Parts: sequence; structure tokens; C-alpha cells
Amino acid sequence: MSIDNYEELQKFIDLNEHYRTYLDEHNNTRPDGRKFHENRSIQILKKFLQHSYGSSMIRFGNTTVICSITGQLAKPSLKSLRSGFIQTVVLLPRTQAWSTYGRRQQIINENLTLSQHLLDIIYKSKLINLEDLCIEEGKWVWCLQIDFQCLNNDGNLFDSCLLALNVALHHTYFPTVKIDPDTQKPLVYTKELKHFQYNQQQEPLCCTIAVYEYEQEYKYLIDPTLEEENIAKCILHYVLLKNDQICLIHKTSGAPFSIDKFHQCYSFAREYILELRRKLNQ
Amino acid sequence: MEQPDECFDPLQFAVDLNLSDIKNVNLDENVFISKGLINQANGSSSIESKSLITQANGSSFIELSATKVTCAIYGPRETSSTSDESYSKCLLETSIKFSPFARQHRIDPLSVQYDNDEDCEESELCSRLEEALLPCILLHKYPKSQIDIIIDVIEDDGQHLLSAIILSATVALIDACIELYDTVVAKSLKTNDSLFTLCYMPNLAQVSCIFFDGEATPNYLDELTDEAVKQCQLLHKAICKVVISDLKSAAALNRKIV
Repeated sequence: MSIDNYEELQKFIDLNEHYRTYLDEHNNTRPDGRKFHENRSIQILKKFLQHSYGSSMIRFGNTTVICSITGQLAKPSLKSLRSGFIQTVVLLPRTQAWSTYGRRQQIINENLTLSQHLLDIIYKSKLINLEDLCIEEGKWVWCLQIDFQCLNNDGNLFDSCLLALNVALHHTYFPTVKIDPDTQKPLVYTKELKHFQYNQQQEPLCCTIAVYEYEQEYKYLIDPTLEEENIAKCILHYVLLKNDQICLIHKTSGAPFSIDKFHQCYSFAREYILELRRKLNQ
Repeated sequence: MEQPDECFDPLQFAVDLNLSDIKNVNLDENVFISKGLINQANGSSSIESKSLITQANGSSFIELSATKVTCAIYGPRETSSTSDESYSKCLLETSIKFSPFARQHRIDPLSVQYDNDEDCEESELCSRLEEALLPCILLHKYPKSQIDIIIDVIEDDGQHLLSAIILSATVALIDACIELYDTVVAKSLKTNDSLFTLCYMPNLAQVSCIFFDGEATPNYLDELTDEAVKQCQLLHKAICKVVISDLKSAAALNRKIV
């Protein structure tokens, strides 16, 4: 990160001051030119990778995330003979370890919590039915491996990972597997691909809101960049399903929140996610 | 949620894989070099920097037919090493990592890799990259510092990996404004079972190094060298085009702000 001009020098010395002086001069805009409720430009790329069953790449401004879905065969556990398995792994860029803002410990935990959140969302919103992953009851099931590789972290990983997941699932093709009745071994036909069945009605999408305290009142910054996430008092994640029902709310500590503030944020989240869905279905 | 005890790769049980199928060699390989990903303007008012990895001093993204590689360069920065070498010139640290979806078989990112594992492909690629780049960087200009080159292999199609890595490192070095004698352009040629990679410095007309795996007669190696040098010159033109257009757009942007 090079310090080329006065603005970047100010950011390097004290990010908070920089934001405060910018908000003093310009009302209702953030340093990168957006209004508080505006999101960054989104680019979606489908079928990005060769070797995976489904893949996508999402760019929210500078944040770039690649999602890849592959499958492996496994024997089901004895507790539930019909369910398959899902594993989500989020990989943050190794380059983050050398950033000036990053504290190594914080970064290492962030991707684990993100992986677990994504797994929870898939499971709780019944986006992928574990029974759909069954090939033959008690013998062979699919173990879905969902890998997220973040190429650049400029804030708002949660939104981009979830959007990438939705786009990738839409275009996932699995090879057909039949069980050989004599040897009980699976026969994989890699040329015969069929579309992966998942619950398309539930489209969980996330809205990340960073709460910034300015002149005794809270400013809600939607789709925060990495700098905004660092200076924010607290960060809210709202995950909504297609019928606007709340799937997950996650709030980090820092700013005391009353119930009406939650309702206010919910309305922001709803509008934002509506726009995301329009983008997704284009 | 439960996790399975053991996972099997479905390719083990594949019935209709044609291993003797020689894939059609795609003669017009697509080359895509960029320092950032192309930003399709959709009317937003935000000013977005075009670099791929914003925290790094220099970054690049290279796509050679199906191989995709990103590179980030941090440096020159203070070195923690106190060896005698570091007092007179810059240290080069390279790190290459494969994504889990880079190849047919998924590479588990959570499995621990021990450093003294002999057949570690990543460390072999690292040492090859260092060999290729050492002749071209002006190391004596950055004493007591180190340059970190971090490479992520997004996808690997078997043939172009080493050349994509070296190209991406070159473009990222240019983006990071580190002084170079010349750009290093690498080209891989695959014939039957042997892989030939040549690293060439076009302006100095010098070959920085050659890597070869396989069987060939010396005459055949000469032919391969000539062919690779010709193709390296084409690649060099592509790199120049990207660098110059990037510089022009950066100058235009600066003019707008000032």
C-alpha cells in the first residue's frame, strides 16, 4: 500500500480522524464517493473453473471471492443413513498477514467464523437438503465440499461469499453415480452430468451494516470497505431469505442497540437484498 | 453438523474416463494479463482502484489458456533476517500455494504440510521462480530489505503453470515499481510427455534459465529453444501493451483528480 497523496497519508496516520474530517466537509457521502446506503458495483462471473462441479466469482468493488463446489464420496454415518455431508472452507488471502491494519490473530479467526456461519446458514435455511445428497441409503452419499477463496479482502466478505454460493449452486452439475449391485462399489459416469437439486426458493442473502458513531448518533454504512469495518463501532450481518424472513442476525459488540434500531436496520437490509436478488436473477 | 470419516475421490470410481484420449491441443491459447480485473463500468459514482490486491505494493492476474495465477508483491520492506547477505542486497522470499480447486483432485487446505517434505511441488516451484527472477531484479539497490512474492494458483491445466507463475511475478514486479534490468518472459512447450520451459529477457536478448522434464535429443532441444524464444517475444509485446495502457489510464485518473 503506497502513500502517494495527502489523503492516503492521513488514512495511514489516523483512519478515524480522516473519516471524521471527511464527514464534516461532505454530508452524507463516504470517502469513496458512495452515499451511506449505496453498495459498490457488483460483478458476477459464472462457470469460472474447469475442474469443479460448479463455480463462480464475485466482485464487490475490490473484494474478490471465488466459490468452488466439488463433491467426494463417503459412507454415511450410522445415525442418519440417508444424509450426506457438507463442508465449507473459507480461505482468506495469505497476503492479509502482512497488512498494516491486520492483527494476525484476528484474521485467522475471521475465516473460521465465516466458514461456520455459512455452514449454519445452509443447514438452517434448508438450502441444501442433506437427503438429496444420498446415493444409496446406508452405503454411499455425497460429501459436498464448498471452498471459498478470497483473492482480495476489501471488506464485506460475508455478502460476497453468500452471493457466490448462490450463483455457484445455480449452475452446479454433478456426475451420475450408480451402485454396482455385485461389488457394491460406486460407478461414476463423469460424462453424464445432471443439474444439482437444491432448494431454489430459499435464497439466503446477506446485508452487512457497519455502525459508525458520528456526533453522538449512529450512521449506518451499508456494504463497508475494509477501512470502514476497522473504524466501525460494531458490525451487523442480516441474512434474509426470499420471503424476507430473517435467517441469521449477527452483531458484534460495541454499540448499544435498542429494538427499534434493529427494525431500522432490517428495513435497510430488505431494500439492499432486494437489489441483490435483482442482480442475481439477471 | 457431522463430518465424514473418510472421503473418496469420485474419479477413482470413474467408469467413462478416457485416459488414452489425447486432448486436442488448443493452438490459439488465450492469454490474458492484467494488473487488476477489468472493471465494467455500470454507472456507479465510486472511484475504484483497478488493482487486484489492494494491500499489496504490486499485483497481477495472468490467464494462459486454462491456467489462472494471481501474484502479490510486498516490498521492499524491512527484513527480519540478520544474515550477512542481507546487508548488501535484497532478499527474495517466494511463496506459492495451490487453491483447493486448482486440479482434478481436491487439495485439502486444512491438511498440514511439513517443510521438509521432499516431494513438495510448491517448494520446487518456489525455487524455480527464484532462479528465474534473480538475474533480473536490481537487488543491490535495496540493501537490508526483502521482497515477498506471494502466488496463488487458482487453476492449473498441467502445461503452463511455471510460465504463468513467472509472467505473473514479472507483471506484479512492474506494478510494484521495483527496479528491473529487464522483464522475464517465460514460455512452456509440451511435446508428448516432456515439458520445456524457457525464461527469456527480450531486451537484453538473454535466456535467464531453462527447465526441462523429459527426453529429447540435443537437436530437438535447439528447435524447442528457438520456438520458445519466438513465442516469448510475442508475450513480451502483450506485457508491454498492458503496462503502457495501465500507465496511461493511471495518468488520466491523476489528471482528473488534480
